[in-house]
Amino acid sequence: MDELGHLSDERLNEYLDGVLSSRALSQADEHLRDCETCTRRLDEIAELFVTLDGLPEIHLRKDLAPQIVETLRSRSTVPSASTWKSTWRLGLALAGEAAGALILLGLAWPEALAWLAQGAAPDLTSPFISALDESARLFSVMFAAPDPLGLEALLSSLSTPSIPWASVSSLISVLAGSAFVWLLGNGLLLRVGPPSANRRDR
Amino acid sequence: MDPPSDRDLAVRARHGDAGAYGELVERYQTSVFNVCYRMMGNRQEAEDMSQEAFIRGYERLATFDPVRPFGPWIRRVAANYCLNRLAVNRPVTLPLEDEHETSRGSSRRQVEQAAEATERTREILDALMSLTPHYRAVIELRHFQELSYNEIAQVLGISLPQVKSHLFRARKLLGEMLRHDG
Repeated sequence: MDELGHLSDERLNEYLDGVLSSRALSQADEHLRDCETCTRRLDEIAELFVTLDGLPEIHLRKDLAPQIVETLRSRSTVPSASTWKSTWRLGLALAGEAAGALILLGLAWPEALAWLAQGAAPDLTSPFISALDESARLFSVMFAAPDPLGLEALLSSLSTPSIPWASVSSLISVLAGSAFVWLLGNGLLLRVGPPSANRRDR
Repeated sequence: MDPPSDRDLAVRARHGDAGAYGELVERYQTSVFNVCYRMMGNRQEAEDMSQEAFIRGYERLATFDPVRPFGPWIRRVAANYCLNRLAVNRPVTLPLEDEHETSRGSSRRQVEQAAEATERTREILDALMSLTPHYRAVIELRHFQELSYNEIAQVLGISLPQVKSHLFRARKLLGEMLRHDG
């Protein structure tokens, strides 16, 4: 309703478009029964609907199909070729990444089996406990050392971290392989290009 | 034998059958041309835009759901294509030619009626062409393609309140112009 108690133009448009809720519709119907001003305005808007509906269909004077077909054949493109090509390349990249991951898993698997079989680290929590011990030791060195900054003691106390079940060479090969597959995969994905961002083109 | 359905033709076209797509063009070229004519206001340009819209539709067939009817989809593609063209181009030129053809044997009364109809058509098209491209697009999608507010918002990539605002303002302007002309 506007300030004079009439239905707004927006409401009348929605009324004609049939998008009002049942409650709003019954309110509008009730108001229109008694209000000549709104009924007149509704008729004016409805007249436009009728006018637009009455716009005749314009005849097409030539057949567009032959030229379109000829154009499509001369381009010899499969519809949405770019989309299909992108999908194909994306699938290839993903397959490559999956294959790389499987290879890496295969490489690491014997190491893991050997580690489990030897019982080198039967307690799976031991690496974490070791890390906690190391943290506690560093903390005590820093705050109980005789030199005020504690740096000398800290540096001398640092020990080389180690992972008990993996050799350095296997770690390096696994990391290098992962990096290669990751770079290759992302390179391919980037070459695929982003999807169209223009929603209006649908 | 029954003619192939739109769905069959669309599926064949998706696999690269340009001839199947040509049959779809034959079926829907008039309605697509009319969309372009209402958007562009010029016969030659409407024909060019119709061709381009069909080619664009072919390139985007992967986004078409064959379960749904082809006609509304390609008309939306055409409306959008025209809107994009209008958004970057100059104001449209108004139609100059007579769109109501009368046969040579028409009576004088028939000729007069045709002339009146032509004049009214011209007034409506003139009023449409005086709208901004976005206002024209919402009128096209709502009144001629009968899309819902939500569908219009989706097609044009605008919000629901914008759809309502564009539609109501466009109707108000059209109504004023047509009353003035009438």
